[in-house]
Order: sequence, then structure tokens, then C-alpha cells
Amino acid sequence: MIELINIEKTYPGKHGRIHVLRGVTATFPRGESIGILGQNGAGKSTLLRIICGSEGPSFGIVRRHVACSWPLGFAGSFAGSLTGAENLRFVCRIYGADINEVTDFVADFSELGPSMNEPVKTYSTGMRSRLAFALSMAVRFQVYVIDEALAAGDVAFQRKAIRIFEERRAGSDVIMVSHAINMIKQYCTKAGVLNGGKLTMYDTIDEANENYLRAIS
Amino acid sequence: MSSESSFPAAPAAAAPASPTLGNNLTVMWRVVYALMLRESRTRYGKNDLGYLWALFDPLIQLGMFWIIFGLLQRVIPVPATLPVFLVTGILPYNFWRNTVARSASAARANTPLLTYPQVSVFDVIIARVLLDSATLVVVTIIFIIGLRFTTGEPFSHWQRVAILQASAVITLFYFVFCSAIFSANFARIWPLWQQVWGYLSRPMYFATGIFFTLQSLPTGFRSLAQVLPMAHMLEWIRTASIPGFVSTSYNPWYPISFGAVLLLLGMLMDWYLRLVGHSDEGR
Repeated sequence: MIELINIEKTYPGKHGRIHVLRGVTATFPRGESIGILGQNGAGKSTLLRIICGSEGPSFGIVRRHVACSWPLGFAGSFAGSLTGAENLRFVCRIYGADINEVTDFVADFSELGPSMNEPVKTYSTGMRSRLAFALSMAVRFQVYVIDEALAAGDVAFQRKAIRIFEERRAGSDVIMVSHAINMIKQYCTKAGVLNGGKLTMYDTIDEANENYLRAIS
Repeated sequence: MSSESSFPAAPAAAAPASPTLGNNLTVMWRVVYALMLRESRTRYGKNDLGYLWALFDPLIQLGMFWIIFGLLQRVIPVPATLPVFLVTGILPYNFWRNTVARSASAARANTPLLTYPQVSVFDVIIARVLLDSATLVVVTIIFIIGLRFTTGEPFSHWQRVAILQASAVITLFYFVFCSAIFSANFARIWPLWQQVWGYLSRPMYFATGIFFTLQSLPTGFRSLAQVLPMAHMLEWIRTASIPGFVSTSYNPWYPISFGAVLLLLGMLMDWYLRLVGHSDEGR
């Protein structure tokens, strides 16, 4: 279960502080997959990073009792001078996952082959995102966190990504943010709307969508 | 679905255990260990000779001042040979200066890592200080053995009171850690700090007592040098290390409390930055 209690988030802006989240309180119980709808700039990504712990709130409390993924496909944490395999070992170590199992899986799924032992800075963008996505699928999390898109890469890889994600989420939950209802309908059981820095949860996805459309029109 | 899976199963991530002190320490050690391994691979890039620099840098300084002291026929203020006197000053001071300098860039250099919820600026600093401390120990041992077989410096010239020496070295590690925490967080508030430290640490190199002891200074200069916490550290280390040298001009509580203040300031700055939603990117 993940609990957010009265989360506030402000950023320094050019003309004073920008108040992104104004008192978000929500509970994400185990067994429920939750989608959050919001327009561009509504603070969806910020909220998602606070949920998974990539960022702390300015005020408020986050209680996280589950193993939560980083936003799927996030490739920004790789050190360019290290090889793909070395970057992978770092992630395994901080998450306490088995290095050999993860290495075997990622080498196979990402189709990087011998490039795993080359420095990441020599990778193409596609190779990087394949490595990042394979890595987030190699470690089993109780909650997977998605920011808009599931995976980058070519069509063939995206198909494969969707298939494996279907398997992975069998025993896990999903928390995703999006500005469109389609993906949320596909993966989530409940939805909420983030508007004006506040999050409102609804019992059904359709109800959330109706209120979202009303809010943005 | 999983029975006819076309993909191998994934090993589970360690679920977050209840936030007891023991569990927190386990996670922290896991992260610090991973950061140390990573840092040891990235610090000098792919250049494996980079680590030799940690040895050559103090060696060059030692050689330079050895020659200068010889030419000036200066008498050192301790009953030790010149290399012992210089090494007990150069190595601890460089350790402090370099770790503080590297910490100033720690947050910016590791921004991507800080997006992993387990990794904090403090973990990055702890990993760096541990790595640098280990490097210092190895370099010191190499110097002691090297001088034994080149100039015939006996091992007994490096220790006077073992317990005092151990406490001095532990305090040095502690003080370097506190300084590093301060430096890392101060640089997040004031990015120019990294350059300022570069200039600040140069005159301090000469004022801290690598070339003199507090004990040997006239009273006026002594109280001036005693403002510098590292001057107390060096005097403490030398009192503990050099047989026959006992100084009463250092106060062990000075670097200890100075370090505590730096640590507190560092933590306050970190807390402030979190409050205002500071982002370490793009600075």
C-alpha cells in the first residue's frame, strides 16, 4: 500500500514559487491499479515521482510499504563511461536483486548481446531505452509505475514490451499517469483526476473520464 | 498466463521491510557499497592508471619539499626525519582537501542516481569518503614501506602512542566526512563554491602546518593557525605518530566540534533545499 498524506510540492520559478501540488491525499491499496488523468503541466509526472520516491515532497508524508519500480523505461540513470552490464549491476545491488539472473534476462530481452559489455555512451537512443526497459522488467516489483508510455523503441520491440508487461503485471499493480484515457482503461481498475494541484479519486474510470473532460473543456 | 510464459521469470526486488533502524542500515549499506563500486570504476573513467595518481600526487609534493628543505637547510621542529614530518602533514591534508573538492560536485555529478529512492546525497558522500579513506590507508602503507626500503626509515618512526594515533585517524575520517557533507550541500546552494574552494584551499595548504608545528610557532601566529581545524588534526596526528614529539598546542575537541557544526549546517541546507523543491539538474 502507498499512502500520500497532504502532499505539497513547490518549485522555484522565474516569477516566484510555482505551487504544483496543493495538498494531495490518497491511498493506493494493493490489488488496485490506478490511473491518474491530467493535462500537460498539471503536475502528473511530479506526482508520479513522489509516489515512487524519485523525489521528495516539500511538505506532507509518503508511506510506501511495497517494492515500487522507477518510471518504466527511465534511461537517465546510466553512467556513460560504464558498460551496460556494469550499470545493471549497480541497479541490482541497490535493489537487492540477483545479479546473474538479471544479467541473463536483460542480455536476452534487450537483444543487446555483446554490446552489454560496451560503455553506454556508445549506445544509440534505441539501445539505451531497450536496456532501461529490459532492466525494469528484470526485477519483479509489486507496483509498476508508468509515465505516459510503456516503452520506446521500434514497433517489434514495443510489441514484445507490451507482451512481457502483460505477464509481469499479473501479480503486481500499476500506477500510471496519462493525459489520455485509452491506456488507463487498458491497465487500470480505478482512476483519478489531477487538476489545480489536487487529486480527486473516482470509483470508476468512466466517472473519472467524465469529470476530466468537464474540467478541461 | 504465466504457465505458458515465453519470458523467464524475474527475480524479485527486495520488498521494503518495516522501517526499523536495522533494516534502514541494511538498505543503506547496500546502496553505499554499490555506490563505492560504481565510484571506483567511474572516478578515472576507463583509465586504470588513474589510481596511480593518488600515489604520485603526494609523492611529487614530498619530493619537491624534500629538495626545498634541503636547499634551505631548514631544521624541522620535530625529532623526526624530514620524510616522516612531511608525509604526516601532506597525506592527511590532501585527503581532506581532495575529498571536500570532489564532494562539491557530488550532487550534480550524481543527479541521475538520486532519482532512485534509496539513494540520497548522504549515501553518495559516505561512499566517496569511504573510498577516499581506503585509498588514504593504502597510500600511507605504500609510503611507509617504500621509505623503509629507499631511505631506510624504520617502521618504528611512524608510531608513538598507538591508541592516540588510532583516535586521531578516526577523528580525521569523521572530520573529512563532516566537511564533505557541508561541501556537497553548500555547492547545491552556491554552485561557485567548487571554484572558491579551489582558491581557498591553496593558502590553507601553507597555513595548516604541513611545514611547521603549532608548538613551534610564536604565540601570535599560533593562535591564528589554531583557527584552522585541520591544523589541530595535523598536530594531533604528529603527536601520536612521531616518537619524541609531544605537542600541547592542539585541542582534540576543536576539530570534533567544528565537524559537528559543519555536519549540522550540511543537514540543515539539505533540509532547506528539499523544502523549496530544489532540483540538482542543470546547475
